Amino acid sequence: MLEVSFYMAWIAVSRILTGKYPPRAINGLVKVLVDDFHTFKRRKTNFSFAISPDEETQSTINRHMRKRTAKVAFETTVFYHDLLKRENIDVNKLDEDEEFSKVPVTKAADFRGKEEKFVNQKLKNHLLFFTSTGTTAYPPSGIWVSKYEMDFLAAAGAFSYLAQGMILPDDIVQISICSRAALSNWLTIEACRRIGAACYLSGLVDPVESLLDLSKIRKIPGKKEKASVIISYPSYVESLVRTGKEQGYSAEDFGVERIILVGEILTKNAKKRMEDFFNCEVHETYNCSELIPIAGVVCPEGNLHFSGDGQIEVVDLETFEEVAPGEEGLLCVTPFYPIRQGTLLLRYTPGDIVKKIDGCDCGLGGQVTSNICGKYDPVLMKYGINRRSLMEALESAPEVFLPLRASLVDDEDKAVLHICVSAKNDNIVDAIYHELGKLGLKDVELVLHLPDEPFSHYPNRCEMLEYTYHHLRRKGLL
Amino acid sequence: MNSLIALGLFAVTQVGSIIYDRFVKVELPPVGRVNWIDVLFILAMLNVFPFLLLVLPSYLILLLFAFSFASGLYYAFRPLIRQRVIIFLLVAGLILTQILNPMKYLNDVIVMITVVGISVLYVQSGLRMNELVLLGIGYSIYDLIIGMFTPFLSQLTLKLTNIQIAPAIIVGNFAIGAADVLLVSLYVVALKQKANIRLAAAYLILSILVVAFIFFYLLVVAPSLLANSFPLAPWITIPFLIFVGFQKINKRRS
Repeated sequence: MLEVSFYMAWIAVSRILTGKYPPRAINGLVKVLVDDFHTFKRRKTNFSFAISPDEETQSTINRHMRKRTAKVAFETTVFYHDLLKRENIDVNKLDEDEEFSKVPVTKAADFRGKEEKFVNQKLKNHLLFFTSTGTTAYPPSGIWVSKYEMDFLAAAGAFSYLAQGMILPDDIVQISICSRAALSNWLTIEACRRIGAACYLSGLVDPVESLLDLSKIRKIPGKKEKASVIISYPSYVESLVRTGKEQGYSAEDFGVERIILVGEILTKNAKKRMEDFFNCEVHETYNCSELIPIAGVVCPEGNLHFSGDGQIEVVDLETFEEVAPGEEGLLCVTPFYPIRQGTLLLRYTPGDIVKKIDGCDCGLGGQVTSNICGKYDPVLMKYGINRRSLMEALESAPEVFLPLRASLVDDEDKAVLHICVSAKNDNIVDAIYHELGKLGLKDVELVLHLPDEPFSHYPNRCEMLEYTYHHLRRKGLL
Repeated sequence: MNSLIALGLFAVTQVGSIIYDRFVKVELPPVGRVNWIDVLFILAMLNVFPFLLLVLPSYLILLLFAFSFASGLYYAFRPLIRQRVIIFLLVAGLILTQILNPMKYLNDVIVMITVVGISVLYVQSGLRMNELVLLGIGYSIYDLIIGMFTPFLSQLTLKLTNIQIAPAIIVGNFAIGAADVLLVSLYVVALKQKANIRLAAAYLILSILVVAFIFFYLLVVAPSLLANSFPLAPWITIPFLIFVGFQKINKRRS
């Protein structure tokens, strides 16, 4: 027990003196949690090494930290030096809300391809690691992270997985994440190493091969018999569920206990299908490489709780001013220096739409917004819907191909919905119109596509398949 | 007669620990367990604390003991009584009564309840057998050196004579130090949890016999030693080590 007090005192002193979390102290806490698991079989705890302040204190911290971050960004990055000078913004006044709201929002388009302009030029003697974000956009963006950030993120990731009971020391973890998302993959492996869990990189391979991996009996001492945790994208797990059903698998063929999902929208229907097929828990998280160390977890109430050390804003799509509670807007994040130190960003928006909410009663703490509603899409906005509501509706219709492939486009002021279905018939058309009607979408032209017909739709990460010789042979390509 | 009552209170404490451990699940902290770092800290405190007592004025020592036993009693009552106010009142009542109007055996009752609560708290909080062995050996060496080769414990006993709350079960001129009672209690509860109740019961009987033999030795064979302090810890730790060794061999065989 003294050990925990010692690590917490170390963290407190380090935060006061340097503003950083000491990775070694967090690693120590991870060891304590692992020990707790072996001693008490404790599977989760509400203990956290970071404080969870009330709204007023959080606001004070945010004001102080964003000023500090902006000062460093102004002094050390090319982009913000030019931008803040051009906009005539006084960095010493950025603790004032009015002045801070004058800082132009940095959009993904401002950042993509110009990452070096955002790099802290004073970090000369630190290792900087460039990581691609594994995004569906082109060119993929990425960020430069320092050695400290990597050490901290690995330790904090391990602590977070373990404290929330997502990865435990007796687990075997299958990582099915795009191989280009190097930091994400590396952090998961490092987290598993610290926790003592076994893991393997399965990648985004053909679902048939992935299911074989999941059903394989592995005799690893001290671990479960089969892979017990999947870390992946919702669309990829959805494709596993579809392929698994087609191939006659059932929950008994696997040992999956938890699925951790990142990177895409998870609808209620998809979550239910995954839970039913694998007979397991599904955890939804929000991670975006550009925003690290800020990450979010979806609580049982369905809201998104963000970890600290960053200012979370929900801003209007046009004026970029903070919206009122209950309104939708762009998620806008300022990760705080010095936890974030390699690539500095002020008021960065990855383009995700969320609803600002007053708070959440689930007790999870942290800054909170609604769950992600989807990427900003002018067509969807025009018809008063968002990507999540469209997905929820369309996935309810029978015979819609899963994972959902669809896109709503404007064709001469008329909405056209392209959607992939498993068979073309009147029943499916009626069912889709019925669901669209519930959303208030009328006079929509429907274009049905079969699974093997390529068409332009909202990208699914499961489509970034990594080929193996086995896959090519199976498809007759080798 | 005093020796028999002291022995009886010693035995009641150990049986009480077993019963308490059987029926009570203590409230664990959300993270961490009692481990070797805590053991080293306890050993360090055991080394420093008595020396501090020699230097401190009597009223400060009383205050220190009052707070120490009050927190011990609080942890012992916490799993049994839900209302914190009632616990506070009960603890304050016991401690203040002993300070303002000392009653016969009340100090012993305070020590016994504290020992029962603390020993079960420590073992249920994850104290492992090898860490307990470290604590036992460490404390035994300290007790042997301080008790046999220095007049320190006698001086300390003299200083604590006039203090209303003392860390010992005291009956007449017989006293068993709270640390020794706690050590046996830890051994008994640990054996019950990590091995089985039969081994714990066997050790309990053996430890009572050891203490009885030492009392007999001090009364009959070497009454001259009675005025001084006798190091008890090594004599109760050696049987425990034998039991632990026996349990390990049995485990390996099975």
